[in-house]
Amino acid sequence: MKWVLKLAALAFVVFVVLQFVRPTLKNPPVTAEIQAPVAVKAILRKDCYSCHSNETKLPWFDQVVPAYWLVAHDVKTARMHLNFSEIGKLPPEAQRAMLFEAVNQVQLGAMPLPSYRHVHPESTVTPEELVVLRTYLDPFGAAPKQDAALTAASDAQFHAWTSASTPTMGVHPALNGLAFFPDYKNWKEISTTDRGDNHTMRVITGNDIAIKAIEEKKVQPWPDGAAFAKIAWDKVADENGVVHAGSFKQVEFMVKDKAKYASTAGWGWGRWKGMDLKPYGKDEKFAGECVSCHKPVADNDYVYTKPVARDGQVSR
Amino acid sequence: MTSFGVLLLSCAVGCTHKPASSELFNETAVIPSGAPIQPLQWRVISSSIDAPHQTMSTLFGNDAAIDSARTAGHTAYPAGAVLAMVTWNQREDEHWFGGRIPKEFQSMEIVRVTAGADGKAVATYEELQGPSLQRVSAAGDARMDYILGQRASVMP
Repeated sequence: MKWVLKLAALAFVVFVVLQFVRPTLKNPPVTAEIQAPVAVKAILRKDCYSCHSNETKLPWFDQVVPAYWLVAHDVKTARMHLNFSEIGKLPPEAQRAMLFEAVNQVQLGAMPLPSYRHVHPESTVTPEELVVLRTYLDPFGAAPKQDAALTAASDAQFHAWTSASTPTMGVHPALNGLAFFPDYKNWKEISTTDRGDNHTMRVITGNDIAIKAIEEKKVQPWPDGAAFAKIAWDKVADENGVVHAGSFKQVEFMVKDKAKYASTAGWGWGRWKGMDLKPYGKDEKFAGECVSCHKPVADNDYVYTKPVARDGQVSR
Repeated sequence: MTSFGVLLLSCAVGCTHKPASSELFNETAVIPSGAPIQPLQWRVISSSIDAPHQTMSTLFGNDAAIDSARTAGHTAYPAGAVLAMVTWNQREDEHWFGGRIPKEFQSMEIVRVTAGADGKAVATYEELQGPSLQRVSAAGDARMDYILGQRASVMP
C-alpha cells in the first residue's frame, strides 16, 4: 500500500506545481464601455461581463488549474470577439451589429457557452431578460423614409452597372482562396430577408446543386458543390412606404466541400463588398468570423436560411 | 476541475439534435404547385418590402424579361417577356432576431407582354390570390404599370 500513498503524494505535488503554470489573465483598463440603459447594462453585467469585458471576476473554482487554463483561454477568445469595456470605440452601426449578434447567440442557446452555464447557472439569460434586450434593440422601430440622396445613389449605381462592358472581370478571390462566382445573379432564389438590424434587404440564391438538394429535401448535410449567394442592398422607400432594393452593398458565398473546407465547418466562405467587389477581411482568418457567427445553426449544417419549400416544383 | 468535465460532457450532449423538416425548410411559404408559372425556376429581377402591410415580394422574370431588365436604357419589355411578382406576408426569422422572412404565399401577379395587332408590345395582367390561386377579376392597370416599372436590382 505504501506505493499508493507515494503516488498520491506525487500527484498532489504535481497538482500544486501545476498551479504555478498560469497564463496571464489581467483586467486591462475599461476604455470605452458600452452606453446603454441601466436595465440593459445590468443584464450584460450579470450574464456577459465575466468573459466579454475587462472586468473579469473569477470564482475560486475557476482559478484552479486545469479549469483555469480553459477559463483563461475562453475569456481571451471572448474579449477578442466582443468586449463591452472597449466596444464604445467602434462606429455606432458596428456596435449595433455586435449587439444583434450577441442577442441572436443568446436566443439560439449558444451564449453564454453551455459549458459555462452549467457551472455558472446564474449567468443564464432569462426569458424576461431577453425581452428587455430585444425591446431595447427594436429592429423595426423606425420605418425607412423616402430619401432623395439614397434614391439618386442607387439610380447612378444601376446606370454604372448596366453600362459596364465587362462588369465582373478581374474580381479577386476571397482571402481564403475562394473564387468569385459571377453567375450568382443567374442562380435561383431560395429565400429573401428583410433586415431591420442593419437596414438592408437580401435575396439568397442557390446554384443548381443547391436547388436540386432542396427539391429532393436532402440538405442534411448539404451535398458537396452546393453554393449559396446572399445579396444585400440598401433599402430605398417610395412614396407609399414600400421599400425597394437600392444600392448594392455586398454579396456573400457559402460553398460546400466537406473535405476541402474541413477546417471551416465544411464550407468555403466569402464576402465581396461594394461595386468594386472588394474581398472582405485582412487575411484568410476572416472565415473564422463567419464560422463563429454561424455556429448556433451547426445542427442545420451551419446554414441560417430556411429555403422556401419547393414541393411539387420540378426543375426544367 | 468541475468545468473541465462539464465542458466535455456538454459537447457530447449538445451535438446530437437532428432538426425536423420544418426547421430546415420554410414550408408555409411554398408557392401553390397549381400555379400557371413556377417562378422559383426563373431568375430574380428585383425584390421589395411593403412595410405598412408587412408583406414582401420578389419579381421574377423569364429570360426575355431578365435580359431586357438588366440592359442599359431599358424602358419597356419586349414581346415574349413574362414577369411574375410573388408576395408573401412576413414573420420573424426564428434564426435571426432583426430579420423577417416570407411566411405564407399571398398572391402571384403575372404580366405577359405580347405583340399587338399593330406590332407594338401590349401587356396583360392577371392576379391569383391565396393557396387556392383564386383569380381576381378587378382591372389591374395600376398594378401592371407598377410591376413593369420596377427597376432590376443591381448585381455586379
